[in-house]
Parts: sequence; structure tokens; C-alpha cells
Amino acid sequence: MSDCSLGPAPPGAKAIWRSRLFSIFTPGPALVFAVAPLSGATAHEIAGNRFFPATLAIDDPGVNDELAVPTISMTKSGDEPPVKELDFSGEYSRRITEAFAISVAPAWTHLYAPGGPTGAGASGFQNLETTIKYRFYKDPVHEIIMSVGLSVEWGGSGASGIGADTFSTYTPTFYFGKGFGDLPDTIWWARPVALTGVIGYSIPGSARRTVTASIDPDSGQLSTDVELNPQFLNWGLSLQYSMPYLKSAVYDFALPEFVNRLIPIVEASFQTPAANFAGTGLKTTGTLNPGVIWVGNYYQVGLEAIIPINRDSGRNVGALVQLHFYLDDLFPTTIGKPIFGGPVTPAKPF
Amino acid sequence: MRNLDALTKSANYPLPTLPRKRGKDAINILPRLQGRIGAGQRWARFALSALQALPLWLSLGVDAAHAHAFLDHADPRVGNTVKSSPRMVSLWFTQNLEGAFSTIEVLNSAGARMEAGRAAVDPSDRKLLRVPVKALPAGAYTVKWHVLSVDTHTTEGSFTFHVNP
Repeated sequence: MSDCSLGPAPPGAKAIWRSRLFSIFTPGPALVFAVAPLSGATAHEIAGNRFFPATLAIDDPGVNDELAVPTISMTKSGDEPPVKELDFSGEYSRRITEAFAISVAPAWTHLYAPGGPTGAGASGFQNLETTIKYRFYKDPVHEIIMSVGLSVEWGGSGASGIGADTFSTYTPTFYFGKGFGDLPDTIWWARPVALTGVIGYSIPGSARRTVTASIDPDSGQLSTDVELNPQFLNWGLSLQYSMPYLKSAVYDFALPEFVNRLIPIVEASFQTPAANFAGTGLKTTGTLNPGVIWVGNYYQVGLEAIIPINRDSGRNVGALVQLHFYLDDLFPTTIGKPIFGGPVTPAKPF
Repeated sequence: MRNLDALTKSANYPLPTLPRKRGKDAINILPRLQGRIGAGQRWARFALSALQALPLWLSLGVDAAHAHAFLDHADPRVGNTVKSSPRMVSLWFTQNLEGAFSTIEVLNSAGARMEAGRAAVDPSDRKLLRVPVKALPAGAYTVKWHVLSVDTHTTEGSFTFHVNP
């Protein structure tokens, strides 16, 4: 794995948030980056008037029964030369109880030449990721949701050819969502706005540093391979303007139905090195993802551009598209309800 | 998907030139791509097949009868001003409702209840919930609704309208 040169920065899709593995060779330093998905359960959520859609680039605070497939993204890394990457990913989320869910998120990656171990490109699955998430607070009046979760990227479950880590990575995460439907009448037009956010800390499960001595076959010199497994702060925000909210709770302009189901959105996801990265030259990377989500009764479709925030985050503008099904609405009596306890049904008429 | 034309430059996958597509149009070239991805990339084929099945899912969404009930529209319309007091406040939802567990409150600016009866689901249109109201003088009114859809999902919400003769 130490010879492959892969994209250094997450292109912005949730399934391709990454931890990194840095190899420092002597003589001749080189940086190597490992691909590893870091994502959590995605779920739409409802709090009072507010419908929080499933976001594409960052995890949202919801807990629900959902299936997001496919999620397709195309990006170009910040390497020199840059490597174009195509990702197909999916996620299945299942509620154990009303507020507790587990999700599984596989992702398949294709790296175009000059990516991969031989420079001819590579394909394969990224490490499998699972997430448990618990929603511990919901305020329908003020449209607030807060959740906590733990994501595990299972080391060794992915293809080494695309740089999947051989060690597992653990990411405890805090999620929040806030709708602004409680704003005063003077700024009624801002009530459809909602903000969601996520902050997590990724901790590689392997030793922080591995040193391996070997003889360079070309020069005959002793080489020392030093691997750093940095810890990262993964954080992001989404800013949404809900046309469904505008129509149903603020002002019905009698707009076309298609428009009334749109949620323009800007997502931002960042990765900031936090520990064990001395000498690597690492800095914060991330993307801004402007786009739009169309919300139906049983599914949503999202489309976003992926704009790197700096050179290390990637080249050019990528794209991300996702089809996302609400299993709780499609199959409310089977796979769309919690395993323990069903939907909360009132005991008596209101 | 603006970089899809780069597929044509891959050494491993020598593809004929594809036209540059953007946005919604990019979906149209997916069937063409499906036949050109390497034989070992079955997962990618599955994903593309799922995307091709979108029309089926769309039809499912139109015809299925279970989901959260969201407010579709109302009379008086959400946020709007009417010139005379309505006799009824009517709410149309996106799903059929269970009438026994669905209710509407109409409050004036002082918080006083203004309903003249109990909210009821229209037997000929189970997505319609309405409640008779007293004569409403000029002012702002808040409508609070709380409904149960036929699949036992509960939802709630509120909005205002104004009476200004």
C-alpha cells in the first residue's frame, strides 16, 4: 500500500470521508493516503412542522428506517497528477427502537489512471462502515434534534488496491438540527431555513506509529518506513431552505407542485487534522456542496456539486447524486418500523 | 457528472467518446455506461440498475397509500389573508387520515379557541380534515393540527392566516 498514491482529500461525499495513512520514506519522502469511508446513518427526521431531509455530504441528525442507493459521486483528487475517482455507495439504516438505529454503508470505488498501486487505475470496495446512532433530544416546538453516534470503519474489509486501511477507525459523533420556524413575524421569510451539523473525532484503532526497516532493492540502503495514522476532527454543516415548509407553515404562494417539493441546500464538510500529524504538512481539507433535494412522500432525490475548498481538497468541481428511500413510509408494518416497539400511537383521541 | 467524458481516456476501459452531459441529462447516458464498465464491477452494475428502476419507484410513490401525512394545502391558504370570516377551516393532507385521532385547533391572537365544533375527516376524501369555526373578526388566527395517518404515523404542525374585511 505504501506505493500507491491516492487522493489526499475527501471529495465531499459522505461515503468518502477518509482517514489517512501517511508513509514517510528515507531517503525520499513520499505521502500516501488511504481511502476509507467514514459515514453514519442517514435519515430524514420530523420535528413539529419541520421535515429534515437526508443530507448527502454530511450525516444528518435523524434516526429512521432508510435505504440510500445509489449514491454516485465523481471527483478529482488534489494529487500531482490528480486522480479521478468514481464512487458508488449505499446505506441501509434500521431502527432498533424508535430513537436508536444501526446502519451499514458499503462503497465501491474506481480510481482512474494514474491512480492505484501500479498507476493504471484500481477498483474495489472501501472498508465497510457501520454506525449506531441514538437520538436523545427532540423539540417539536423549536424544531431541534440532537443525536450521538459511533461509526466504525472496519479495517481490512476493503480492497488494498484502492488504499483501504488495514486497521479500523472509530468515530464518535454528535449531530444536531435546528429549524428556524420560531423566528419572529418580521422575518417570516427566513422561517423555512434550517441548519444541521455534525462533529466527530476519528481515532485510528492501530498503533499511532509503525516503523519498519528494510533494504532498498535499488540503492541497497537501509530504508525506514514510518507510518502516521493521524486523528481527525470531522465536521460539517448544511444550510437548507425548505419550500415544503414555506408552503405548509409560512405562506402558500400557490407555486407549482414541483417547486413546492424542493429544498435548496448548501453542505460543507471539513476534515481537520487533530493529533499525530506532525511533519506531514496536513491542513484542513473539505468541500462546499451546493445543490438541491427534491422530496417526495416515499423517496427523495438529491443532486449536488462538489467544490474543493483548497488545492489539497481536490481539483475541479465534482458531482454527487443520490436516490434515497423512506422505508418507514414505504413499509410501515415490516422493515419500516422499529424492531422493538412500533410507531408511537396515541392511546386516546386528541 | 461533468467529468464523465474522462471515462473515454481510461487505459483500462477504452470507451468510445461520450458527449458531455450535465445535470439531469447525465442520467440519460447511464444505460450506455452500464455496458462499458468492466465485467468484474458487478456492484456498479447493480447500482446503475437500481437507478434505472427509478420510474418503477416513482410509480410506487404515486400509488402507495402509506406515509407520514403532511399538510398539502389549506383553506384559508397558509399565511394568506381572507376578506371575510370562513365558516370552515379545511386542511388537505398528503395521506389518508384516521379521524378519531386527528384534530384542529383555531386560536385567535389571545389564544382563545375559535372552533364551533369538532374536527372531522371528510368521508368522501379521507385526506381532508375540517373544522367549523365561529364568526371570526378581523385579526390573525393560528391553526394547530395534529393528525394520525392510516399507517399510524403521527405528525403535527401549525400556521397562521388573517381575516381583514
